[in-house]
Amino acid sequence: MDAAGGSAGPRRLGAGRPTADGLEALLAVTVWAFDATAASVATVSEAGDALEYVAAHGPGADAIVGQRLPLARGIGGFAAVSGQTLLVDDLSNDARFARDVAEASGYVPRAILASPIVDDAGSVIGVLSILDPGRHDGDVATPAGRLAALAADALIRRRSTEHDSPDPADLGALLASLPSDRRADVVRSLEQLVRALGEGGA
Amino acid sequence: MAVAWADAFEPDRLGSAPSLDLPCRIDREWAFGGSTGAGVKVAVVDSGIDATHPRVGSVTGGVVVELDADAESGFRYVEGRHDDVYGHGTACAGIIRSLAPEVELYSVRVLGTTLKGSGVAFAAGLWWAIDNEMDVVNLSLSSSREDYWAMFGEAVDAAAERRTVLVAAMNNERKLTIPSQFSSVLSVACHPGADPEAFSCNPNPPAEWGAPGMGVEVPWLDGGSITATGNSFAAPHIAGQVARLLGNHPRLTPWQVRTVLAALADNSPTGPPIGAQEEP
Repeated sequence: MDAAGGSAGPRRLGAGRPTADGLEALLAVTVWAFDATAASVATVSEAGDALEYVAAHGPGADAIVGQRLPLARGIGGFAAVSGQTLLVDDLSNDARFARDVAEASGYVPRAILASPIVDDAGSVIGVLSILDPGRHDGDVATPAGRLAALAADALIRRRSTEHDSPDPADLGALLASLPSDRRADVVRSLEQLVRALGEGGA
Repeated sequence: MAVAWADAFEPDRLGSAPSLDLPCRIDREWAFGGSTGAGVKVAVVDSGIDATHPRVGSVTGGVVVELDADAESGFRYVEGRHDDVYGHGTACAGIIRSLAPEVELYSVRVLGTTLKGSGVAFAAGLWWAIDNEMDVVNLSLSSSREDYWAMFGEAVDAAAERRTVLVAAMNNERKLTIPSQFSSVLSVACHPGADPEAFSCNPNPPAEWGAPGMGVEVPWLDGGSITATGNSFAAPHIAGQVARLLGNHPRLTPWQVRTVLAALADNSPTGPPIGAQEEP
């Protein structure tokens, strides 16, 4: 988790979610593969100006998920904006490193390996951060990039699920808010839609 | 820990630098002797430069490339002083300054605080450096998007024709790297060791030049520093050496610069390793 600046936001995109998309499992494997202490995935906000942490594994994971940090700050922000992996071996002299935020999460990293998460169109959609990776010899950026590619698949699946499957409770609340005559029209339309989908060979 | 392409510079893999059987030697004294880089204009296309950082010294000028939906080109140049958004540009500038303390540094900020239009800004920043007659341009940024070949190709050719030497870092991952992989660009990756004077020439590119970049302590924001690893930090070592060379020999073409550096590389069959005694 890149804790360089920012504050806790109201959104907790990944908090309490089931792990069906495999993102949390991927992070667990990442920590193991890199002999690291923790790892996280943050997504770029819709406005493109912040990183929103949606999944984490390791010390401080519960505290970091839901955090929203400005894209303009920190190693993760640089990875996102530049589109390239960066390994910082020692952050202790970084004047802007937000130690208080890191301490609040319960874990202060010394080193960060941050890799951009890129979709099929070549756009950066997030950042994979690996905290305190072990002393591997050789190229660590390329395997980090490959794990980031897997994270991209998971994020795209997660977004697809979110967009295609509206919460039934939200639909119910929307219907309840409509005037009674309008509500009846919408219910009839929904019934016709459900029948049509069923006839379509579902 | 290392990053991609560094393996090409391991001693058991790196061959000899290409060399010419010249009647007299190109040596470091001829190339660099007494040069501080004075009179050489070096642009750092990056996240900005913190001119107040004690390891940077001063910044002669610069520009911010801002996206502008109302402009026909999609961007506008905002010349003048600006800060560094991330610290990455300051790191590169500090390395260049450490090797060539009297170069004229120019900051070309192409990284902003959002993701929008970064490729367009990057190419526009490169054009600014070429049009403003920079002698050396450090590009510790890259893209892996194949559709950027055309966008950068024209600029890279223009730089070579106008004797602007482009020095670009290979991507830290083993994948397509634009603009490093254009043949006229000096592409750089990390090589073993920390001696800032040492560099290697890989006879089998795409990563052609090796320089220190693993676990290097670099200036960062607010007067601070970090220890970082990346080809980003190897490139400015080569840019600094090119600036020293041009300080003594202005207007060398990029091809001549390449020949001289190959003759002086650690693995050159004609050039002694750093620290070795000159022949009597």
